[in-house]
Amino acid sequence: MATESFFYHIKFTNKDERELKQLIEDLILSKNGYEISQEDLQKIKEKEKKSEKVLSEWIKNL
Amino acid sequence: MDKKFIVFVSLSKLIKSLDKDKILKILSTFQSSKEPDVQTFLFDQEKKDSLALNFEIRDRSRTYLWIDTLNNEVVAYFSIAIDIIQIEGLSKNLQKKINKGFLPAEEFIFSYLIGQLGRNERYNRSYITGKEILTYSLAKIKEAKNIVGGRLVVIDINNVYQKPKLQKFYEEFGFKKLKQINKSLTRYYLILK
Repeated sequence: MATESFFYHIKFTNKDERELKQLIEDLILSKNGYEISQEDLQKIKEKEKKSEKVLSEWIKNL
Repeated sequence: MDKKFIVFVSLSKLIKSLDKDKILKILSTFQSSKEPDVQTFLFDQEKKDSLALNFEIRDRSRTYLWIDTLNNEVVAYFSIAIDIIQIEGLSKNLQKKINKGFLPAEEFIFSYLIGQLGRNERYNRSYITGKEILTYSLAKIKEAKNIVGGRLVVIDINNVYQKPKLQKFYEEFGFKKLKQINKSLTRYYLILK
């Protein structure tokens, strides 16, 4: 990660054919993708819910 | 420090509830001497300002934080944004494949960028792990994906500050090398289902 990441946009040309083909194949197939488990999504929702309760008190007392 | 006092909150929410000085004071508690850029993005000690905060106000990125509400300190954070990949010279066949038969006038692939991600060095992995921070960032991107679409996530790995062990960590998540940006940064990508 880096701050400059926000300002840099990748540009592919003919020279990057191999990388580009790999990316496009993955994009089309998407079977190689990552799926967040329902368990993790549920945990995150619960954390957000609990955080809401603590946050309002914390903000008041700051 | 007790984990139950650590909350997960968006910077946007803090902006709505607190004045700038209070927010900056909280952001200034984040320390990352091993990866100074991760620290400077959240709070620049010299300028006494926050690029993350300015980006949030300008809708340039979204930052999410874990805050230790007992000590008013940032435990960890990540920042995500919208990005594009520009492509030149792609065959018409591949262009059609990407766009399911539609030939676009311009050659861009939309992506989500995880621009920053880090844990305060004063808090160890017993408070939050790198895996948790990355999972939360992908969960937030998934929320955006569910609303507007897109499935490509990109992240830059710093070859200088981040050891090969960390590169392996991202690869185990499914990130693949996309392109070397410069001497210090390599962009990786992940397809999010």
